[in-house]
Amino acid sequence: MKKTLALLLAAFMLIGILAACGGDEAEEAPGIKEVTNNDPYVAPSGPRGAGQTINLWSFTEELPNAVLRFKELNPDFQYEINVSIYSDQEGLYEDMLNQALSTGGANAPDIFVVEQGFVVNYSKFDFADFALPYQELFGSSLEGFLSNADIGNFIKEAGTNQYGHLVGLGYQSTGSAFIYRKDLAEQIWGAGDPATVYSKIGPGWDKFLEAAAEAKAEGISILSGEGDLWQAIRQSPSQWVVDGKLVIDDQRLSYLDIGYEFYNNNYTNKSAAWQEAWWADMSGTGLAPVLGYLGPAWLINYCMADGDNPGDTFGNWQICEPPVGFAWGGSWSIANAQGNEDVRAGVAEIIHWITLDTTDTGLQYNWANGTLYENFDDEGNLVAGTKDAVASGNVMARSDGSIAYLGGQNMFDIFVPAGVNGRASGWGPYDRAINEAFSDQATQYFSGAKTKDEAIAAFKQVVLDSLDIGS
Amino acid sequence: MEHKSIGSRFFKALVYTVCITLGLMSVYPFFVMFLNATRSSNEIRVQAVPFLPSSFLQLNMDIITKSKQFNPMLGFRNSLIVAGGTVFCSIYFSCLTAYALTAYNWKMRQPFFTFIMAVMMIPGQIVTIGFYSMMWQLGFIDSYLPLILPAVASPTIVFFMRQYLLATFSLDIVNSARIDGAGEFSIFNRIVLPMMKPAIATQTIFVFVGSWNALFLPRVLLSTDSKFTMPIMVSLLRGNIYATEFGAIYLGISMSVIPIFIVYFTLSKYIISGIQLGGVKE
Amino acid sequence: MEKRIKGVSYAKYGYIFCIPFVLGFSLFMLYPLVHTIVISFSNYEGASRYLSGRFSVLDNPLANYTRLITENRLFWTSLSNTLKIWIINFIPQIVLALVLTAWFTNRRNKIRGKGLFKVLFYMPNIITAGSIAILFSALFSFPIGPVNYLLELIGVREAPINFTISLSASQYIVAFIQFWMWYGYTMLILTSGVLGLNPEIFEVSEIDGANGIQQFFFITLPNLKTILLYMLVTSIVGGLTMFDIPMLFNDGGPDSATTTLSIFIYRQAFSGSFLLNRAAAASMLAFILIAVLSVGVFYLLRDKDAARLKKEEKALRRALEAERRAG
Repeated sequence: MKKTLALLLAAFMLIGILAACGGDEAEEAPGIKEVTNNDPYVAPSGPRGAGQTINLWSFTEELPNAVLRFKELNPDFQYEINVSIYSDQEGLYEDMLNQALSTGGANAPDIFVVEQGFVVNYSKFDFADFALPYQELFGSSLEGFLSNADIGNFIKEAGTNQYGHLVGLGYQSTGSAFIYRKDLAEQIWGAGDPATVYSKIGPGWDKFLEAAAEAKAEGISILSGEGDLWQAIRQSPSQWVVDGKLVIDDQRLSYLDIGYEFYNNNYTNKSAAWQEAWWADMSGTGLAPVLGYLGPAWLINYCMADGDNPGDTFGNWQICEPPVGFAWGGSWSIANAQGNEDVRAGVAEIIHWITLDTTDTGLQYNWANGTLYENFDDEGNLVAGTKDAVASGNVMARSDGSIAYLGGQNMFDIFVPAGVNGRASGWGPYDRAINEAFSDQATQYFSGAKTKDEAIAAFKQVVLDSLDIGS
Repeated sequence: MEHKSIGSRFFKALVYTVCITLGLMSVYPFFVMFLNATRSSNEIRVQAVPFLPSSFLQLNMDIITKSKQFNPMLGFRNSLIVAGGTVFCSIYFSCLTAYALTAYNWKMRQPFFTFIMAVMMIPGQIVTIGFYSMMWQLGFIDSYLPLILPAVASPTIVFFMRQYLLATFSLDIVNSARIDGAGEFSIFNRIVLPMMKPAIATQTIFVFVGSWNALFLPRVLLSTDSKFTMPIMVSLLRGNIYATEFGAIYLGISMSVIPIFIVYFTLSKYIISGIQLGGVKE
Repeated sequence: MEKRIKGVSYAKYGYIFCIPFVLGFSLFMLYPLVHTIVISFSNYEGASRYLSGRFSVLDNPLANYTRLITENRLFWTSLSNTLKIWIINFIPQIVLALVLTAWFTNRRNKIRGKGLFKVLFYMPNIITAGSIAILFSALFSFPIGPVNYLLELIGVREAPINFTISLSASQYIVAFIQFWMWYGYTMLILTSGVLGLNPEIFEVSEIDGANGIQQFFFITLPNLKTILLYMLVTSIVGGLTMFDIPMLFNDGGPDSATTTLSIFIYRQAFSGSFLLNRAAAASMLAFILIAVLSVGVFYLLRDKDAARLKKEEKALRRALEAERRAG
């Protein structure tokens, strides 16, 4: 009996090994993807795409809803849009996307949307083979589209692959600003206009530190939490991992010193981003009144000004340049190079509408002016919905970015130049895990649980243990 | 006598105090959940612990229904299909296996039972990553089958049913049915299963809850939103990178808990009366 | 033991009825398990291998294991966290469950409302662990949050405590959540076990003058050995694979304090480096640990008398056999 059992077990193991073990094929050297399509893009018209399906993958409803709206507004566009949404918690979206891309077949995405945190994985690094150069969608028209649209540099940079071909573009511009409360600024410095405030808080983080002390003297926290500072400082132009080794560059290292000052002088409310206290500070109902936040337009329009988040402070906010320019967030649309070729015309049309169409019917213009969806006020009048900063400088120059939340200030005045300050050169494939580890250890240092050297050593150890990246 | 009565009263006072405290503690999060479903996100952020309901139920409802991914009726239906299928597979085949382990005397019986205990020790996660990778390779994604069928092999339920049978089963009924010419399989279905009702009822609760709340496997295996189960839909409410609509999330969670409550309170009399598990066979 | 009718053996039905279980197990558990084992001996790491699905067994198959054990500090941290959190959770849980069981099955002092209490105690098990973790994360939030508010109100602290950066606080809270979710279930199972005991043994002891406490320790507990065994094993498995609660409470932080073994395994695979072979090796190590602990528990709780009896039976049988052959 025992022998039979042993034989059975051996048989199972053998089957398992035979099934699972594949020979290690010689890895193909990645060839330079030839950009073959030089035909100019022809704007489609008439009924098209009937009976065909385009698989659209995203991690929020935002872009899929916009595409479905596009279908509504363009009844001749008859492609069926099959939406797959996986939320990005715990990296689920990336995992599912990778499975779908590598498995291929009918379920593979034709268009997929990726966030700043992992866009470069699909445009430059591990999964770059799945990104179809825009040149293949638009032919020689691409150059003209790009120069017409005047898209922020970092947006293009993030979406350009290792061979210099553009494979993805974001539809939002996420160059950031310092978003502050006018009344509190007046309390500290006597004036709350953007020029004055910027002269007080910048340029440079050392100036910002001084401003924090001045705010503290009035019982005001300059930021909600140290994490808000990290959000800006971590956007360094150099990568975390260089030649396979972990490198802590000076800018990121400076967070340890600057953050320490902030923490131990109580210059912030010590909240963690996206948690209750951080949201509460947007309406000034936190531990101490908070002067401002560092972030791009979507932080204003979709977070701070949304619903009853502003509380009583609505209309009392202004924006000015941040101490050091940075970009945060954004969603890039990428076409799957190994997707269904039959629907490529539809894919091209959608991507063009999202990122390169600067006319009044394109997503860019409607997104910037809040006219994509029908929005009615209490009297039934059609009014503008939520506005946002978009990738196309051309569109922003023609749009009105004044919003009530900022007391009528035109946010594009600040966000258009802010788009210049964003840099994507420092975005790398391991960013999310490494940034989190660094911030975690930094907080331990700030709170006194570890010395600076211990924190740095612990950080390097965690990166080594989790990602197998030495330093 | 006097001493005993005081001791007895003290004992009871102690017991009741502890139990009421525990009871309140156990119910508290549900209380918070249902109340928060009626409050706005901002109210929740400012004061997370509610004592009175607020007036934002309709607003939260609107947020939920506005989300194209969240369709409570559909989610209920899908979750019901998956949970129902899982309960059936798990309970039926576990009873069958447990019956095999108690009613028949076969050589490998004890080793097989040991084997089942060993399987119980295999952590689900080890299996999960390999499992869903395998499903993707085979193309069995976006189907309920890989979610339901694995329940056929549920070692913990087998253990339970076996314990129950050891305590309550006697071969006499089976033998008289055999004399009447009934086949083994029909004996199992028509005689043994009905006898196991209390155990089945209790385990149904456990399995149903476990399956209804399962998030990971359904999330990674289902890609069409018309197939999403309730927990997936609720998790998507949190997925919006911009605003965490706490009120709506609590409403979503509350809605997904309601069917469990229904099943639970319907079957709760079995919990109250308790079932016999195992016993001293003499 | 079973009567034979007309010389028909029913034993084969034992085998037949177990087929569905074996099939289900082989298909859905065994294959992935073997797959995991094979990967743990291989070089299956990095994005390109992940994409192609092709890998080969290493020259030194145990390299992943040795690397984990000797070089990876996070592995040991997560292991000790897991054990620590499990112990903090389980010991109070089993003690409370046993106490409640003793109270609810007390033959002399009948407690009223038992049914209602049982229903209430099991309720925490109904919501998903994830939802609970989110709720607790909100309860303990810093600087403003209900617990902090309460602490300041009753004067224990003046400034709010930052639970989310305190290593031990996070661990205790995670352990508490686990405890709170499962104590009702444990109690229900134990109560069911006690109900299955023959009332005669209790009556006999009462005649001998045993009181409630003595009855519980000397009669109830020993007879619940199988159930206790089951509780321990399932708790070990559950405790060592805890994932949802620490993940959703504080993402395995702070400073990896609530990073359990499962979170460590998940992060090996999905942090960006696709170290699937190491994740598989860590999974197998977890399995081995569970098996060792379970076997240990089995051994401790084994039925010593029955084992001795069996041994004597066997010796007797062998002696008889030997005699028969000789004579």
